[in-house]
Amino acid sequence: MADIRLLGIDKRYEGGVHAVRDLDLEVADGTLTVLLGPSGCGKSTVLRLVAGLESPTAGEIHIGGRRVDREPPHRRDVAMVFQSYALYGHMTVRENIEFPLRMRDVPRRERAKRAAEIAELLELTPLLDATPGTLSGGQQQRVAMGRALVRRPAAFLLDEPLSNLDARLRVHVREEIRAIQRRLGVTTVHVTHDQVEALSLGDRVAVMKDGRLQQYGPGQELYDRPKNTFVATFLGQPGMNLLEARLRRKGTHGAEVVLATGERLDLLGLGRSMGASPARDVPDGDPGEGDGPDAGPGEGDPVTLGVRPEAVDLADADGSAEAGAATISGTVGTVEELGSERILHLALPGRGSGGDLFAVRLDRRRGSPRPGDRVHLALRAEAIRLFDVHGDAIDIA
Amino acid sequence: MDGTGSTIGGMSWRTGTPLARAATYLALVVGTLVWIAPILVMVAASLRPESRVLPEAGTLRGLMPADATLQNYADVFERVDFARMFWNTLVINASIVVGGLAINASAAYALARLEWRGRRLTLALVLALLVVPFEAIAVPLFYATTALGWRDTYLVQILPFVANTLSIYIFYSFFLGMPREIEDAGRVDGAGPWRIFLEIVVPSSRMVFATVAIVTFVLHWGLYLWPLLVTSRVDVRPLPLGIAAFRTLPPVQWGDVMAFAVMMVAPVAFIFLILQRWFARSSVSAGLKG
Repeated sequence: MADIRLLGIDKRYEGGVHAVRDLDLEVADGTLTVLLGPSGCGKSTVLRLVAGLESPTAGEIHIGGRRVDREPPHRRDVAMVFQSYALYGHMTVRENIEFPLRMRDVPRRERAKRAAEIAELLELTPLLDATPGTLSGGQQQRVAMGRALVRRPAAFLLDEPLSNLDARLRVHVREEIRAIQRRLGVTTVHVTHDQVEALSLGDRVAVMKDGRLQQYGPGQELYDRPKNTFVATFLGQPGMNLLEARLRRKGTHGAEVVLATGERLDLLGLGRSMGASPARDVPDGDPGEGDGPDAGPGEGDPVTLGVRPEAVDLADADGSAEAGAATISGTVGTVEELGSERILHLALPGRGSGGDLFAVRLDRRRGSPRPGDRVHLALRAEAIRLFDVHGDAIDIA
Repeated sequence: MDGTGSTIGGMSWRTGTPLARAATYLALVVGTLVWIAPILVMVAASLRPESRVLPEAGTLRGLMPADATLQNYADVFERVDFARMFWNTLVINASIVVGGLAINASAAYALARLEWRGRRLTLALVLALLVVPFEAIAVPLFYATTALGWRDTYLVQILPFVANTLSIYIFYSFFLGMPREIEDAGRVDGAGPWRIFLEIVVPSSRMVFATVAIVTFVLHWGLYLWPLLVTSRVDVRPLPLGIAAFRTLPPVQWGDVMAFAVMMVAPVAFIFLILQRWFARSSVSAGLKG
């Protein structure tokens, strides 16, 4: 068992693709980190770099305190589960599971014992003599896990292992992975583009975009306090609503902003410190920009206001709302019925008709507006996030 | 309602008017006859008493199995050392096939998957050599092998054909298309390049190995020019030279020549039948979820 540390990792491919940029990432011993991002964000490359299937252009990789970035894969003591499972089709399940042990010259008797143990753990015992081609997707997936876990690796790498399973099985296997990871206490890096998988599985979640780490922390923290507009909109279904606004007044503990639609929102006195060290651990592409690290936007500067669809309530018809809430109004475009809840997509005045709609997640018991209805919305002020013109969060609650 | 026997898959080419279908079948039958007739004539003539071979050639009567005899086959063994020539051809061909599979598959794997200096240039050269016919290099090769004192050996008939650009190309294309993840899995599991090749790639490529084996075997079974150049002793000569000589060996007996031809063709057909079932099978797909 070991921790994984990536220091200043950079990966450029021959064709000029810059897959990973200046990545620092630490995965603590025994924890599960999920790399999350859209396709092409570099998350799978990071996994391949850790596995040793690619070598970094710059930077260091440490596993269990040992620097390994120049070591071949088999000397890194990591195991990997691939998206396609990559089982050896001409071998039986038993031979597949024993293969990594055989490559390490583990004696036959020991191999059989450990394969039997891992098969028991993964409920593969009845399938040991089958060939992978005859197994279902879920069973193949477990064989791939078994082959990876059988040699008790220092680190366990999973590359979108659930993406080939159907929705119901995916939830089941997800829980299985979590349970096995906890039981064995093996340090794990799991790559996915599925945010539900990321939030439910990871001790910590690292969101990537265009080869850069956007934010790294517990999933809930990323959801509640995204460090930039990308994380804000990428997490959540639908993602955080963003509204253009201008900073009107800036206090020591909050601000007052004016929306493009004219509504004034008082966010003063909410325990926010303005301007100081806004998300500076997000690597910035252009060091020459701006006014120095401590300068937030000044009064009159444009800002972006973010609010989650569930931090919005329908207000009374006269627009009044509870104290601490700000109100805006808009027209219902479409209504999505999701069984336990419904999601309204609203057009707000002043936003182009082609622009994003403002999403509101409503409990089903809270009335049912129809398309075309004009509604007033109360935004829960404590859930509102502010971002500067670069999209970086400018408040730390 | 007896149409239920026809499968849905079969429906697609069975559409069209009855007349169009009849025309299709007619074309197929004619095509089949054109291909199979010479072989039928060969087999039939080989089983016929010598006196009737030429008069009945090309007639339907010539294809009847009446008065079948194995005398012509016995004649072949009596008149020439067929067994020796057969053995020579078998040893030479087996060596070319087995050696070729080993050499060309490894070369192709190195070209398709391993990183090394000069890989692209080597690949370009190999592909360029595809268009150079053997006849073009036969003479210089003849001088080279003669200078080495290799005339009248098995070696000189085997070695020039072991490395083969066409085989390399077939393997190369196949390896390029193989899913990389299986090899990546092998690397992470601790296998080096040789073990990945031997334990993962080769077993997953049985189909392409069978293909190359058949192609190589068939292409070299009939080799004529090169053995003619480099051999003069009968005891190392292969079957194609044997049949060429036998055809003009007096007295010319066509029944015997046909018997020789049948025995020469049979191994190719046999090898093909053994290996062709691998054509349809590939174990690569089994390890991967589509």
